[in-house]
Amino acid sequence: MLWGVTKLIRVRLMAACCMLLCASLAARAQPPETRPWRLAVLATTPLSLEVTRTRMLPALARLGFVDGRNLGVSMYWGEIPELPDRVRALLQERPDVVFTTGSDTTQAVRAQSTTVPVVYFGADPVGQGFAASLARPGGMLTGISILAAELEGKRLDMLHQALPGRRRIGALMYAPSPDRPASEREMRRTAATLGLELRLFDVATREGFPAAFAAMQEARIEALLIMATPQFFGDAAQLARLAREAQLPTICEWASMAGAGCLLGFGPDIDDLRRRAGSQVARILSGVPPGDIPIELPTRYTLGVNLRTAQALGITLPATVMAQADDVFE
Amino acid sequence: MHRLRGLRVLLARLLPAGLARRFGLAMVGLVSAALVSTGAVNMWVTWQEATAGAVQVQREKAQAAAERVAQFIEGIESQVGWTTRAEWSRVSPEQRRYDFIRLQRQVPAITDLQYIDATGREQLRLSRLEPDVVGSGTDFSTDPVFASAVAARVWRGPVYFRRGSEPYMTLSLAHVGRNPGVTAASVNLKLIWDVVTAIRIGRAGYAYVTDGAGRLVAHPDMSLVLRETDLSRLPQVAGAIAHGDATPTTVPGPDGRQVLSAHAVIPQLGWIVFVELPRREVLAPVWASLMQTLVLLALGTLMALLLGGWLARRMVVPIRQLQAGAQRLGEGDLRQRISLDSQDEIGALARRFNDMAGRIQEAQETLEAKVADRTRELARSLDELRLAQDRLVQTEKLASLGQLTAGIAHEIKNPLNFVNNFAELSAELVQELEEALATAGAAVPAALREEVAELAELLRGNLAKVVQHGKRADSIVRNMLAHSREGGGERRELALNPLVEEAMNLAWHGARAEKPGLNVTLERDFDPAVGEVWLFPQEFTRVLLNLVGNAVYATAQRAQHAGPGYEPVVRVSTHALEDGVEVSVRDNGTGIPEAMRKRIFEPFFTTKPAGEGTGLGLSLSHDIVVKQHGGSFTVESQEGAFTEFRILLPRVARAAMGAA
Repeated sequence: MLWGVTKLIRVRLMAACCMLLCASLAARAQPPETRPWRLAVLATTPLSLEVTRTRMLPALARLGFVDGRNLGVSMYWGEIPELPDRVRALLQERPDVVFTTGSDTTQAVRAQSTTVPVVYFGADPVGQGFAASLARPGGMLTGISILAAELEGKRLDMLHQALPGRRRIGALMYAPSPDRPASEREMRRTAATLGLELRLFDVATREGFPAAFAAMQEARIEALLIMATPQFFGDAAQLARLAREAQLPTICEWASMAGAGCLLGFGPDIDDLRRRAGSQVARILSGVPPGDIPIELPTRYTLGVNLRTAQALGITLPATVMAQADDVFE
Repeated sequence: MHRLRGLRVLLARLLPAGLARRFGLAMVGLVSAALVSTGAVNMWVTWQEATAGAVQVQREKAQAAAERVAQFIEGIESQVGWTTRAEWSRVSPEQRRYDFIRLQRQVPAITDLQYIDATGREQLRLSRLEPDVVGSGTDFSTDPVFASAVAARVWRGPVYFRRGSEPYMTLSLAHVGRNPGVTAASVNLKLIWDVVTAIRIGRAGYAYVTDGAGRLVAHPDMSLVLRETDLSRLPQVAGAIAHGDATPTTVPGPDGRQVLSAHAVIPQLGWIVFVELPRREVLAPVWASLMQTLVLLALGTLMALLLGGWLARRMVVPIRQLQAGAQRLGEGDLRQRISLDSQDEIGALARRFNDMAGRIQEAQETLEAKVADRTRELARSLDELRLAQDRLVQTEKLASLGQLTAGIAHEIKNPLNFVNNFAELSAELVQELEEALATAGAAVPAALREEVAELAELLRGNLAKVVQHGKRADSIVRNMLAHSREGGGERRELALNPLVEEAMNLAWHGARAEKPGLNVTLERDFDPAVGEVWLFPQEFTRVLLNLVGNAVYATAQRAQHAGPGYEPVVRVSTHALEDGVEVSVRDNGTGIPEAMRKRIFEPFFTTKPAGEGTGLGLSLSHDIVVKQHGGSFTVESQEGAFTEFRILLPRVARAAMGAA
C-alpha cells in the first residue's frame, strides 16, 4: 500500500516538475531556432538596401534573428533590366524569405518563383495582383503597402497648399514602374479636383533626367511632383539638384527626401514601416505562412520641409504647411 | 516488481518484524494521513485562493484595461473638443484648417477630420491620405455623424474596417452653443495597439478588445485585428455579448490555449475588453503548493519511518533483552542479569526480573550447600559403617577362629599332659636305672655298663627334649585357650603411663635375654594428661609386651641387612584424646608388606621363621583390645620404613564392657 502511495507521489511529483519546467520555459521568450536562416533583399537602388540594413535588420535582431549569427542576409540591387539576373542569383541561395522593395522587383521574383516567401515593401500589392486582399493576402506574399498612388494626390494637394499661386504642375514619372498607371490616375484626379494643369514627364533611366527637366522648363512648369518610386528615392539628390537648377519647387515621396534637397517630402514614416516589415520577416521565419499575415498600411505620415531650398527658390511657405512639418531642414 | 521487492527488503531491514513494524507502519500511516489530509486541505485552500485571487485580479485588470482603452478614446474626444468651442463657427476657414492641422499633429490616431456646419453641410475635410476638401457642401444632415452628434453631443460610430483590414471608428462631437456644427474624426484604432500591449497581465497574459459584435478591435497580435477577426464564437466573448457581466472562467483563448478570462465593458463605446491569463500561470502557485505539500509529505513519511523505526527499536531492544535474559535464565544460567537503565516500565520490569533471578540464585546456592553437607555427612557415615562392618566381620572371624583354636587346644591338652608326664616319669626311670646299675657294680661287665650308661644318657637327653617341646606345646595350647577365656582377671582403674613403662621394661629385658647383643633405642613419649584408664592390667600388659616384642624383632630383622648408619628406634607414646587415650608403638624396622597387612590379626599367621612365633600374639592382642576393652586396634606401615600400631581405648569403658 505504501508502495502505491509513493508511486502516486512520485508520479505527481514528476508531473509537477514537468509542469513547472514547462511554465518556466513558456514564460521565457521562445528563442528562434538556431539554424541559419537566409534572407535575401532585392532592390533597385543601393540606397534602399542601405535603409533596409539600417532600419530593418536591427528590428529583426531585436526579434532574435541576428545577421551573421543565425541569419544570413544577402543583398542584391539592379536596374530593371538587370533584375532577372539578380533574381536568379538570389534564388540559387535558396532564401527562406525574400524582401523586395518596389513592385518591379517583386514582379521579377514572381516571374521566376511563385513559391519563395516574399515580404513586399511597395505601392500596392493588391492592385498589382500580388495579394488577394490586405487582410488575407493568400499565396506566399505579405508585406507593407505604402499607399504610393493614393498619396500622390495628397502630395499634389500639399504642393498646391505650399504654392497656391502655381497652377502649372509637372510630374516626373518613372516610365518602367508598374505603379506608374495608378499614380498617374490619382494625380490626374486630384489635379482635376484642385483645378491644376498637370503635365507628365516620363523618364526611363537616370540619363533621361536632364532632358526631362529641359522639357519642363520648356513647358514653363511652375512646380514639380516627383513620382513615388524607389528609383527616384535613390536619385533624390540628383533630382533635387536638377530641380533647383530649373528653379522648380518639388514635392517628393519621403520626408527624408526633403533633406536631399526637395522642397517638400511627404509620405509614410519609413522607419516604422521597415520595422514592421522586419517583424513580418520574423514571423515568416518562425513558420507562419506568409499568406496568413495581413498586409499592413502606414499609420503615421511625416512631412519634411527644406527651408534652404525654399530660400534658394525665394519661396515663403504658408503657416498651414509649416504647421504640418515634422522634419525641417535648414 | 523487482523494485517492489527491494523496497520490502529495505522496509524489513528498517523495521524488523513484529512490534517494530507495526509501530513503524502505524507511525507512517498516522503521519502520512495527517500530512495528506493537511496537504489536501492546503491544496484546496490554495487552489481556491489562487483562483479567487486570480479572478479578482483579472477582474480588476480587465476593469483597468477597459478604463485605459476608454481613456484613449476620451483623450481623442477631448483633443477634438478643442474644435468645438462656441466661437469656432465664426472663425475664418483658414483658422479652422490650421486648428485641424494642429489637431491631426496632436493626435496621430486621427486620420480624417471633418467640419460639418449647423445645417449639416460639410465645410472642411482634412485627411492624411487625401487632398483636403474645403467647402464641399456635401449634405450630412441626416447622417448619424451629424444627426446623432447634434442629438447627443457626442457620437461614437461603429467600428469599421477600411480596405477590409484597418479598424476605424468615427467620432463626432457637436459644437457648443445653439445650432451647433459638428467635428467628426476618423480614428485609426490600430493605435489602441499601443494601449493594449502596454497592459501587463501576469507574465504571459494579454488583453484584447472587441466591439459589441465580437469583432476584434485591438489585440497585441496586430495581424489578428488586421484580418478582421470575429471572436464571437469564443465562449467568453459570446457570454460577454449575451449577458454583459460574468465571473471570469477558464476557457480556450483566441490562440486555443486554456486561459482564465475576465472582461469589462466600456459602456460609452459598447466595447468589451478581455483580459486573459494562461491557466498554467494562474495555477503556478497551486502547483508550487502541491509540490511543497508533496515534498513535505515525502519528508514527513521518511521522518515518520525513521522515527517509527527508531522508537520501535528503542522499545523492542529492551524487550528483546528482557526476553533473551528470561530465556537464558530458563535455560539455567542463574547469573544472568539484564542491564537496562531506563526508568520506564520496561526498566522496572527488568529490575524486578533481576531481583527474581537473584533470589532464585540465592535459593539454589543454599540448597546446593545443604545437599553438599548432607552428602558429606552421609559419606562419612557410610565410611564409618563400612569400617564398623569390616571390624565386625574381622572380629567375628577372629572369634570363631579363637573358639576353634580353644577347642583344638582343649582336645590336645590331655594327650599332651600324658606325653609330658610320662616323659618326666621316664626321665626319673632312667635315673633309677642308672642308680640300679651302679649298685649292681661289678656284676655287670664294665663294657656293658659303659654301654648302658651311654644309652641312658641318650635317653635322658631325648626325654629332656620331649619335656622341653612338650612344655612349649603346652604353652601354645595355653595361649590358644586364652582365646576362649573371657573377662579373666579383674578390671580396674589405674594410671596408664606407669603400666606402659613397666611393660616396656619387661619386653626390653625379655628381648635382651633372648638376644644378648640386641641394639635398639627405646623412646618414650608419654602424655601426662592420659591419667587413669579403666582396663584389665594383665591382659593389656600382654598386648604391650607383644607389640614391643614384635617392634624390637622387626628392627633386629632390618639391622641384619641394613648398613652401619641404621639406628633401630622403637617409640612408644601415649596421647590423651577427648574421649579416650591412644597408645602407639612405632618402630623403624622392616615394615609390613601391603599384602600381609590384612592378615596379621588372624590366628597362626606369622612372618617369623618356624619355631620362633606362634602366630597367636597379634590375634590375641586384637581380641584383648577390641573385645575386652572395646577399643580399636589399627596398623599403619610402610615397607622398609616403619610400622606403627595404634590402640585407642575409650575412657569411659563401663558401657563398652557392659556391651561386650
